[in-house]
Amino acid sequence: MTTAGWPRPPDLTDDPHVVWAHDRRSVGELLRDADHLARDLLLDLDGDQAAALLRTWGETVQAAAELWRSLPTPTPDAQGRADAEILTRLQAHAQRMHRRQLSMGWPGDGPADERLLRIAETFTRAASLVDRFHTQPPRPGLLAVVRADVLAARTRVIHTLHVASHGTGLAVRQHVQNELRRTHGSRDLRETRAVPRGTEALRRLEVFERLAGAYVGRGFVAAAEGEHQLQMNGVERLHSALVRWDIHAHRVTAYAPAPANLALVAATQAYIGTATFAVIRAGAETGELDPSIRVRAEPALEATQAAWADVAAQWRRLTDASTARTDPDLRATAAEVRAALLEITHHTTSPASTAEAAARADLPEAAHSLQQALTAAADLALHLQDTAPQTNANVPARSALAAYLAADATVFEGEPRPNHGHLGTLASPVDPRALRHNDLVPLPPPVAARIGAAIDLTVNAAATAMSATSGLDHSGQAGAGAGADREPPPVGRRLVDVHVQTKLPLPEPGWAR
Amino acid sequence: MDSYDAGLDGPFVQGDSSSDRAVPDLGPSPLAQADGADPEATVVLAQVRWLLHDAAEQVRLQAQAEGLSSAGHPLALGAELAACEAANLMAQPPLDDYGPEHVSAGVLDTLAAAECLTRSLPIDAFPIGMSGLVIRICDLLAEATPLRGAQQVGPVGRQP
Repeated sequence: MTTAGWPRPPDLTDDPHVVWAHDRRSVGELLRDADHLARDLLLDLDGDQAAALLRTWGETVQAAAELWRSLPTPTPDAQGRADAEILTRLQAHAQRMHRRQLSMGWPGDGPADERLLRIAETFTRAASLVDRFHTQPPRPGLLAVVRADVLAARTRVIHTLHVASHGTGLAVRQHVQNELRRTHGSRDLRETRAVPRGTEALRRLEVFERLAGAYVGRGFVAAAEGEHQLQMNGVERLHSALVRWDIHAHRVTAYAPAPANLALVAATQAYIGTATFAVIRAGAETGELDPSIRVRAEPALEATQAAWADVAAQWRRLTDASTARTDPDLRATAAEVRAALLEITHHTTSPASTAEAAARADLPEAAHSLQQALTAAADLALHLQDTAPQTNANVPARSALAAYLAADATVFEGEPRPNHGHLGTLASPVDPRALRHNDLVPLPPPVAARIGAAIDLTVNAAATAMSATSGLDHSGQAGAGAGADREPPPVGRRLVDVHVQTKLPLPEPGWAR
Repeated sequence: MDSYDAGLDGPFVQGDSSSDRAVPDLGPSPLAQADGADPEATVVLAQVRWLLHDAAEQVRLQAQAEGLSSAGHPLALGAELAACEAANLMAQPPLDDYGPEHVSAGVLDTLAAAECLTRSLPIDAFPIGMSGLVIRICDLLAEATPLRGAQQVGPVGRQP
């Protein structure tokens, strides 16, 4: 059931039990509709809606809190009471946020957001139904099915707030980015004040989202799970994400080398290569990095990106639904790397221009962090090369057969193929009984050989990329050219570094193999 | 059941069975199903995972063909990470992949189909953590939307 096209309900009267004759939705259906409205909000956002969303946010949380209070406490134990307090915290948080907005004078008076209003009205309608039909106080002997249903209703309420807070935060974030772009270079505080007040609203929304997410998720997590954060003027997040990624990637490669994990490791490394090029290009075009680095790095990064992507494809081919689980920490850190890079290379949902990327982060510093990541990637590739032959991976039989057929065409290209019996080269090394039940089977030798060849290529490509980007330390910044007006001349130790660097010959591709 | 009928279960009934058969009458709470997964939710999750995986593959192939500057690379990784998240939500993954052999839809439609699937059951029918996956898929949809027909960054997937 959807609410699309419904006439607007009349305004609430003083009667809390007002019933709209045409609205026949149950509490459960109302909560589902609120969930769908929140998702629709998330799918249609831009920065211009930030003020209206913030104006309506407090009302939405207030309506949710009223519904929450009308629901009976599902479990009388301490955990149940603690869970019941979550919306009290969220409401208090929203009220503090509202007071702060009043003191800062933003967003001020203006139109409300119709979608959040619809969610608030839906919550109010649900609260009205609960108040009307369930007035008895909570009791320990609450029927188990009702207790489960109340828990489900509470989950839906918080989930809706979780999604809506994420959407509101995205709109505010886009608003801040738009303002940064509009006022770039301005020193007029009246012009630039939109940035700090938007940033503060965003930080508060992030806290709200995390509180709500902890209730409907698995509690607070160590990594940021790829959620957007606002750290426009620094690369601390990127550096931290890359360091954590390096640690987790090495750990998983050593201790949990399942195909799904290895595929994710390789895919993330491929993306790091892509993003490194985006940062180098932006730095070269804005004069913050030596343009010759781009010329040197592009073919090497292209090769390492393709090599890692090929390794990822090989391992991914060996997974299916039954073996697709990945290490949660690995996934979270990969998401964090992606999000940290998107903060620099993307504007809202599109690639940022080079000027935007330069305004958002210190590109030489970001490039330096990425160069360190490429160095770590070269080590990771060697680590993978060492551990892969010992990896006695068991993979689903059907995936193994598909990978075997693909590997058969490449490994034995131009060579006589082994005779597998009367079926010739089409004969499968996979047990037909295992195929029938899709049991786990050892990796067929041709597949292992194909993966080994791909890893060998990756080792070489990663070493080449590491060499080609070795000038991305601070001495790789543009010198007396376009970037000279923003960088002081090198002195002391840095001068020595620059001098030494300029005396060194350009590294040949693959010198570090 | 009349939605306004308090009845035995009161007004908390999670769905009107006469109007919407897709909604279970009594959705189990995520806290209650920590030990046992709803089999219907597992099937939906497997389908969602497959669609996200397919979307990732589509974008990745196109991005690889376009080179380092393609805007599809982060979207491909994002879709893959979401597929991993869906896989991790399944307590007991099914043996089958629950996906068609070939999908003729483009990336945006595939992601939209995955998002629609997550609406087929109430959020409390899914395992804990589904709320985050819903947000991730909606974010991917927003990311994929500007790519449709954006000539300056190259087309992604099989979009017209």
